[in-house]
This record gives sequence, C-alpha cells and structure tokens, in this order.
Amino acid sequence: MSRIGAEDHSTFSPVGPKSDFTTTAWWILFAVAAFVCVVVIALAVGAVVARRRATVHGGEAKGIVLTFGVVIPALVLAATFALSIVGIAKVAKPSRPAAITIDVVGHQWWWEVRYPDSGAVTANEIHVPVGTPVELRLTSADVIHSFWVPAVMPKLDLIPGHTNDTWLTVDDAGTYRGQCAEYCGVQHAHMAFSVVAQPEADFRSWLQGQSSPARTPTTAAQKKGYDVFTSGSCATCHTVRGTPADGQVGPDLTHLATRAKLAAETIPNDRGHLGGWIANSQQIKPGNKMPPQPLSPRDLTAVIAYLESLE
Amino acid sequence: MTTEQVEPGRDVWPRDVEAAAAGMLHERAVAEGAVGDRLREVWEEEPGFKGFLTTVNHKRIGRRYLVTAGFFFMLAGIQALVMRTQLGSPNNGVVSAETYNQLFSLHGTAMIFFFATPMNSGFGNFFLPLMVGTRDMAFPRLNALSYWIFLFSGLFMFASLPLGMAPDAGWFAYVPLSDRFSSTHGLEFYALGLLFLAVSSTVGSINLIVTALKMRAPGMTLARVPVFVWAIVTQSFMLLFALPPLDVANVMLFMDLRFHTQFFVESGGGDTILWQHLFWLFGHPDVYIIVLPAMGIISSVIPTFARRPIAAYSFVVLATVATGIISFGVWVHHMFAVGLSDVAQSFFAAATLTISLPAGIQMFAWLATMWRGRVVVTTALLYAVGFIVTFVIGGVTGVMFAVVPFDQQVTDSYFVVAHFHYVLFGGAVMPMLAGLFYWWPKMTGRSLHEKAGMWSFAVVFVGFNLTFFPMHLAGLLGMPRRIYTYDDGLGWTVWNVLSTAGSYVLGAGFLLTLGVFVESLLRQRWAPDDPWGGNTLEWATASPPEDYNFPVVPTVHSLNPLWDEQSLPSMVEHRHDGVRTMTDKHEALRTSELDARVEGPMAMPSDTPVPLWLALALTLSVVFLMAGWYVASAVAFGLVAAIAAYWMWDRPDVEEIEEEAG
Amino acid sequence: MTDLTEHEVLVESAAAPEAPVGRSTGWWAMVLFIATESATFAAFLASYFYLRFSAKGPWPPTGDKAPDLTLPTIATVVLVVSCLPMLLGSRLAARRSRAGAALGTLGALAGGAAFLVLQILDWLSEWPESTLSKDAYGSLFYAITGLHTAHVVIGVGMLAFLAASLGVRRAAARPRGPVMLVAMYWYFMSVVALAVYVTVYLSPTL
Repeated sequence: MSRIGAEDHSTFSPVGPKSDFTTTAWWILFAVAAFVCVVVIALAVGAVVARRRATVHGGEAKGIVLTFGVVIPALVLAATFALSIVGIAKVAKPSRPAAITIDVVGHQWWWEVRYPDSGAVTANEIHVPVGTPVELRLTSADVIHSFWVPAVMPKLDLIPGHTNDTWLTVDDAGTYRGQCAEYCGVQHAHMAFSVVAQPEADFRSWLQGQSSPARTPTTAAQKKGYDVFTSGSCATCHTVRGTPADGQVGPDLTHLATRAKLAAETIPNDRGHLGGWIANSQQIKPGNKMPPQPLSPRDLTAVIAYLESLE
Repeated sequence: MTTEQVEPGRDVWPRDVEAAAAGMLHERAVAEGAVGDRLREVWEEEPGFKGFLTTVNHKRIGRRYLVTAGFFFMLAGIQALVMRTQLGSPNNGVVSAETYNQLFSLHGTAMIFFFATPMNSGFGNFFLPLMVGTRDMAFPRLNALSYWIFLFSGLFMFASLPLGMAPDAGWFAYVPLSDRFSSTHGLEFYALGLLFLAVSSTVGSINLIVTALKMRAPGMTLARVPVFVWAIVTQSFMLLFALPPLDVANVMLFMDLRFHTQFFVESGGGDTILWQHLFWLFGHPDVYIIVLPAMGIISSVIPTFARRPIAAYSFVVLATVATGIISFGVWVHHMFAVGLSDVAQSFFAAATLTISLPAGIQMFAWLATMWRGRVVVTTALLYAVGFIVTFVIGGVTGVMFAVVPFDQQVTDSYFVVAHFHYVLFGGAVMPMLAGLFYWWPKMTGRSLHEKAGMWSFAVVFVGFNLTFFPMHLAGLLGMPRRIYTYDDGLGWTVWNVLSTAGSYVLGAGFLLTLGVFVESLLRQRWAPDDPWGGNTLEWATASPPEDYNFPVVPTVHSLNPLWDEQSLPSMVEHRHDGVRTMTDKHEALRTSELDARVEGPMAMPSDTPVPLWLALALTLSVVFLMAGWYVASAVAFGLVAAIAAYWMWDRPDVEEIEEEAG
Repeated sequence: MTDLTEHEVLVESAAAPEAPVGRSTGWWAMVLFIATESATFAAFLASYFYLRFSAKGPWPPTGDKAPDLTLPTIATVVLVVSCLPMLLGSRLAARRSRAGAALGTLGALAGGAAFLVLQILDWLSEWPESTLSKDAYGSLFYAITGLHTAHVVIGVGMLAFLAASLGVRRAAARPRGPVMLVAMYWYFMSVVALAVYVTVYLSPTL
C-alpha cells in the first residue's frame, strides 16, 4: 500500500454518487445565487449612483415588490425545493445493496473502525473497495461527532446512544481525507481520518490482514517491547489481538504498522513520531486522553520496535 | 444634504428664539413656549451620580443599553481578532486549544446574547417611545430593572474568563459535551448567565409591546405605525415565545451538571437530541430577533434619504410579522446532519425556503423606495446600502441550506461561518451602524463628521468582506469550523491568511468609527431638531429630546407625520389642552390598542433606586447559586421578593404585580 | 371592561373626552407574562413527552411504578377550587367592596397553602421510590412539579401581599385593578396544575 500523500478533501472534486450530487447542486445554486446577488447589488448601488438628482415619484410600487419580491423568488424557491427532494432521494439509498458493513465509533479524539463480518478492527483509516456501496453504522462512545469526507459524502453525526445508518460509494481509487465536523472538545481540530478506496482484490487482502491476530515478535528488541507493552500501562488501554493486551480505551493496535498516520492524522506513522507520541503525546496533541509514558530509553526503543512490527 | 447646523462654539443648547431660527422646528418652539418650563419641572430627575443610579428615563436607559452592548461587542470583537491571529498561519501557537475553545464559545455567546439583542433593545428603548409619540415606556421602573439585569448578567458571564472558567462548548453548547463531559464550571456559568439575562429580555419585551399597544399618539392607527415599531414589537413577541425553550434547556443543563439529573443522559432515559430541539427552537427565531429590528432601522433610514415614504408599506409590515411567525417552524434545518427522517428533512427544507419570501419583499420594497425617490448620500444611507449588499449574499447562501444534502455538506464548516456572519454582521451590525449614524444627532444633540463617517463605512465594508468572503471557500474545501489550528498543505492556508488580514482591516474600521463618534462628542456642532428632514415623530423633538419628549402630544395624521400638513401643527393646536400637555403631574397619554383613540392620562413613576436594589439582590442570588451556596441563594431570593413587595407597596399600581411574579 | 383606577383618573381630569376606556397597561403586561410562562411550561411538558416517547424501554425508565394518585389528585382539586373564592373576590372588588375582596383573596390563599402542604407531602412519599437523579422520569417529575410549586409559592406571596394591602391601606379603596391581575395569575396556576397533573401523574399510569 502506498503511503498517504496529498489527500483529496474538496467539494470540487467529487468521487462518489453522494458528493457528485452535492457538487452539482453547488454549481446550480451558485449560478442562481450569483445572478440574484448581481441583480440586487446592481440595483442597490445603481440607485445611489443614478438617483441622486432624480425626481421623487409617489406610489406604493406594490406590483414591482410583489413581482420581484414574491412571484419570481417563489418560482426559484420551488425549483430549489425540487432539487432538495431529488437530493434527499438520491442520497437515501445506494443504487444496489451494500456489500459490506463498517461500524464507525467516534471517540474523543479518534475514530474506531470495525468490520463486523470479518472481525477486523482498526482506527482512523477506513478501507473500502472501489465502486462498491458500503454500509456505515455510526455511533459515538462519548460526545457528538460528525463524519465528513468532503470528496465522498456529506456529514452525518455520531451520537451516543443512537446509531445512524448510512452508506458511501467511492468511484475512484485513492485516499480521501475526512474530519470530525461537530465540535467535540479540546482536540476537535485533530480528529481526522482517511477513506482509502482500493480495488476489490487489494481490499480483500487488506481486510484479511487486519482480521488476523497480531504477528508474534521475532527479534529480541521486539520481544522486549512485547513484554513492556503487555505488562505495562499500554495494555490497560490498548488491544493487540492475540496477546493479553485487551484495553478498550484507546485504538486497537493489532496492525498499527499498516497505518499511514498516527493520532487521528495528527502525525505521520514513523519511528521518530511514534516514539515522541509514546513518550509524551500531550506535547503533540495537548489534552488527548493518553498520559505521558515514563519509559526508560531502552524500553521505549523496544516498544517502538514491537509496534513497528505489527503489520 | 439638508443639514443646517448651528454655528459651532456655543456651550449650551440655547432654547431662545434665535436658536429656534437655527434649528428648532417652529411648531415645537411654540409648544415649548406654552408648556415647556412647567413640564421640565415636573419631569426633572435627580441630577448627578445619584440620578445616574435612579433614573427611569427611557432615553438614558436606551443610551446605556447601546453603550453597554457596544462594550460587549468590543470584548467579543477582540476575542475574534485573537482567534483570527491564531488561524493566520497553519499550526500557529498564539493561544492554546483550551483558550481558543473558550474564545469562540464566549465570542458567539457574547455577540448573540450580550451584544446583538441588547443593542436592539437600546434602539427600541430610545426610539420606540419617540416614534409613537409618548413620554416614556409603559413601565419605566421595569425598564430600569431590565437594563441593570442585562448589565449584571453580562458581567457575570464575562467574569468566567478571568476566573479561567469560561464556557468552552460553543455558543450552542451541545450535550453531552456540555454536560457530563465538561470538566470546568464554564457551562454552569453559561446556563445560569443566560437564565439571568432572560429575565431582562422578558421584562423588556413586555414593556416594549405594551408601550406600542397603549401609548401611541392619538391618530396613530395600526396603519400609521412606523415599520421600526412593528419590527420591535414583532421581535418582542418572538422573544416571549423563543426564550422559554432556551430557559427550559438551560434549567435542565444546570440541573444535570449540579444535581445529576438525567435529562440529557442516555443511560438514565434522557436524550441528547432533546437539547438540540429546545436550543434551536429558540436559536432560529433568535436570528430574526436580531435581524428584524435591524431591518426596521433600514426601513427608517431609506425613506428619509430617498425623500419619499417607504414603498409597499403594508407588505413590509406583513413580511415583518410573517417572518416572526415562520421563524418558529424552521429550527430543524440546523439539525440536518443529525440523521432525522427524510420526511422531517423535506418538511423543514420547505419551511426554510418559505422564510426567504418575506425577506424578498422587504428587499425589493427598499430598492423600489430608492428607485422612486431621490437618494441623498449620507453615511447612514451608505451603511444601509452596505446592508443590502451583504444581506443578499447571506440570504442566497441561506437558501442553499434548504437543499438538504448540500446543507449536510457545508454545515459545521467554514461555509456556514461565512453565511451567518453575512446574515448577522451584514443583517444586523451594518443596520445598527446605519442607525447610529442616522440617530446620533437625536441621541446626543451633536452632528457627526460625515466625510470621516463615510471613510469608516468604506473601511468596515472592505474589512468585513475580506474577512468573511474567503471563509465560503475554506468551507467548501473541507475546513470544519471550531478548529483551533490546521495543517499546511490542506489548501486552506491562503483563505485563512486573507480572512485574518481582513479582520485587522475590519478592526481598524471600527476604531475609525469609534473615532468619529468620539470626535463628535468632543466638538460642539449642535444638531438641529430634524437634521435629515426625517419622516417620523422622533424628529419632532429636541436634539437630544427633553425629558418629557413632547411638550404637546401631537395627533398623527399619516404614516409620515413630519411630512404631512397636519400632524406637526396639531402640537400648536393642542397646546392648551390638558390631556395633551399633562403639565400638572408626571403623566403620559394612554390610547386604545387598534385605533389609538384617547383613553386619558396615565400616572408615570418617578426616578427610584428600587430597580437597582432588586437587580443587585437577584445578582447575589445568582452568584450564590453559582458558588453552590444554596441557602444563601434562597435568602437572597427572599430579599428579591421583599424588594419587589416594597416596590409595590410604594405605589399600588398595576405594573408591579406582574413583577412580583417574575 | 372598565378599570376603576384608570376611570378615576379620567373623572379627575376635567379635559377628559368621552372616549371608551380600554384595557390597562397592567392587564396587557399580565397577559403577556402569562403567555411567556405558558410557553415555558409548554416547553417543559413537551420535553416530558419527547423523552417519554423516545424511551426505548419501560416508562419510568428504571421500571418503577407510576406515582400514587391520591395526594396529587386532592392537591390539584384544592388548587382549582380555590379559584372560586378568587373569582368571588375579584367580582366584589369591582363593586369596591374591600372586605369582600380581602375575604375572597384569603380564601384563595388558604387553598394555595393547602396545595403547597399536599405537594410537599407527595414529594416526601415519592422520594424513597424515585429521586431527582435516579432516571429521566424522576428528573422531569421533580423539575416540573418543582417549577409549578415555585410559581404557586410566588402566587401565595402575591395573595398575602394583596390581602395585607386590602386590609391596611387607604389606596385599597380602589382594589379592582390589583385584584384582577392577581386573580388572572391565580387562574393560570390552576390551568398549569391540571396540565402538570395529567402529564407527570396521570399519563404514566395510562
């Protein structure tokens, strides 16, 4: 899998049926809006320019006000409503039934991603097959978050105690940036994720990898890291499937090394950043729920080595 | 320009015949000559600092509202500048995440609740009684009470900032973030502060409505009521029905935080979405609570400077009232991303579209007025035109939200931030500035430096658009609102840099505007009664108005009494009529609700410190409640009741009975 | 409807024209105040039904039984019945009967006080079963009955004040205006009591 580079996250480059609609709607609305603005602004500024030495006319001008203030707007608004109804219908259901289901659980401030059919669990990176409708079930473990992938689909909230069902289809392979859009506390700014759309075969092999238990440590450093991880404070919050580490507070780290970024897209996933994050994540993302880990340099190196082996 | 100015250099506004020639309306001069001296004695209030604390005069209270709201505007504006500085470059570290979150939460709360709404109250307080031709508000002491409570609740809310306990869950404070997940006492400040303020808004609204219903000058039938008065009355009715859901939500929030009730807690059978329904049931009407009176100002400014009556008056009035009603049926469009049913979404999309029709009516009524009149270019008119330009942009982006999937795309992004600043800044701040420039001579008795005023308009207008237009693009490019920082390379940097630059220009524009006002106060360019050749009754009073406003209550013969042949002369005609002059006692004229027929003089209270005492006791009660000293809080509330009883005992008038219930 | 306070002002004023005398400013203020208070109670009761009907399980959510109806039924009836002396009192006040007005006021006051006692007894009997923080029903129950009771306390204060002013004061020779306004508030309290009764007491048993 290629490393995540520049990610598309713009309304102007849609890659799915939902965003196709919002982008088309935007251009229609923009054209009409621009026309209305130009006319009204021209009339307002024109009056200041042209009517300074004019003669005052009487009259209520009710006909003009009715025509331009009610009749014409009503026609435009009716058309807008039609567009809205078309849009609501269009985004309600995918063109064919969804092939897979993904559960997304919002946490302060990261995304838990589960593939219930295969048992795969990951975080902040949602892999989907290209061109296939995917069912999403959104909920939250704490406060309200909002799921938004501008290039793929508009927002839907993740609400504690509720599950919102929706779907998405990505038409072009690639990586698309998403971000929490509902203010959710101190690190709302650092709660991004990505949707990675892959050809069906790639997706299947990725999913198979993610569903399997963690690799056993091979080198001495990895083994040491494994011991520190599973016996120390790491395991109280994090799960590594196939090991005694089964904490439920933080992201599942079973295949951490396959992810491109860390801390909900705050930093790249490389040795330096990973080490810095473990040692004191509060400097990188102040207020996040992971306390600084006072590990000795040797233990830290070992834990990094272990985590980097979790492919 | 029709401005006739008295030569500068006089240190007192002279009331002699010479002065009359220089700027006093002939009819008023005659009326003042007949009864002015006597009325001045009857209506005189205590001078000095004591008088400052005890006044019940609607003009002093109105001015106070404007100054205090302006002060909160400055505080919230400075917060905005700090936020813009933080966002001026990617990964900036001017403020921490915690501070940033407090800043935007308090910025929104302060701008909506402690600036925009009270600013409208200020204009309403000062000008509604003048425009309907009466001597004060219906309940002058309640009016003083409203102001003091507004001031103390604002100070209470802002005190949270130096205490490090500012609200940090955004101005709409969604649960459960504001509830079980809030770590500081910020949201308790928020809930209590808003409840406290609601007392002021409720009392003030009742006062304004009753004044407009019962105290219009004889002859001012409903068809002759100025649009501004209609707007204030509509706004006041809206507050009476919009504040209750907000109050209920805040009571629930405070109880959830303090007493561990389960209103918003899913595990206890509560519901998180309930907050959103209650909040937006207030929140959407609130947009029009802010914008309608501001539009009323525009409907005052444009006819004067187009030299003709407003076009399609009856449509404009209907549109104003219709907006007030429809605005209660659109709240769910703030919740399109919540995941409600398609049926609900379609219904509220349609309702959202309907509400733009009344706005269209008003827009084209103003344009038609200008195009059928002769436009006199003044600072006030420029701000009014600036309003039209910005408000139409905010309006068309508002219509876009009715297309539900598009709304879901841009809601909670910077696109929405751009939209509501175009609506609220364009739709309210611009008209308020128009109103300040228009009515400044009436409020202060001094003229403004017009040329400097126009420059201030230019800088404010450019600064505003430079700040907020780029936000549309940032939002479309995927930038969510309420993030304290962002990475470079996301395509947002350039738009944020532009916005930040614009915010400094805007700040400079406001400094310049403030400078124009200060300059006017320092100079002594005395303003005549009617500097602009205005159409409504406030221009028939002195600048600034005497304590009794009108020496003789005129008979109103048309919608534009200063432009007809009979209304002003009626002040001369009735100058020996005891019912119109009421020189013996502190009285105002009561008239019938619909057709403004005379019902007779009505006793008015004099200046008194009791409203201030009551407000202070209520403040104590709220502060103790915040501190968790519940017994002390109850005792202080007992003190409130005792003061209210004293207030009524002092004078068994009907107005106070309502107060004790509050 | 004529208002004596205003009427006398008119009589005193030699220049008073023969105009119809409309509602007083105080009447309008009370009507508007009752309107906004109605909206407050409506918002609270609507919240009750919102939570009631969005609850996925039983109601009350913890599965407790609904409150006993005996005390609240008596309390509500007492409060509603206390409108009768109030009505009588305001009729007599219109005829300038100070004593009659005072008696009617005291009658309503007695009803209000009895309501408060019964309400407190009801809370005491409910508390072991359902507290403020136990579940959403408990929160709603105490918040809604508490809000209404607080209003009745204020109403009782108003009645006491009115009775006192009718008893000792010269100005009470013109009692009609104040009595009418307090009476309006008092009737409103009864209407709210009925709505509260139906919502928090009766509806969970249905």
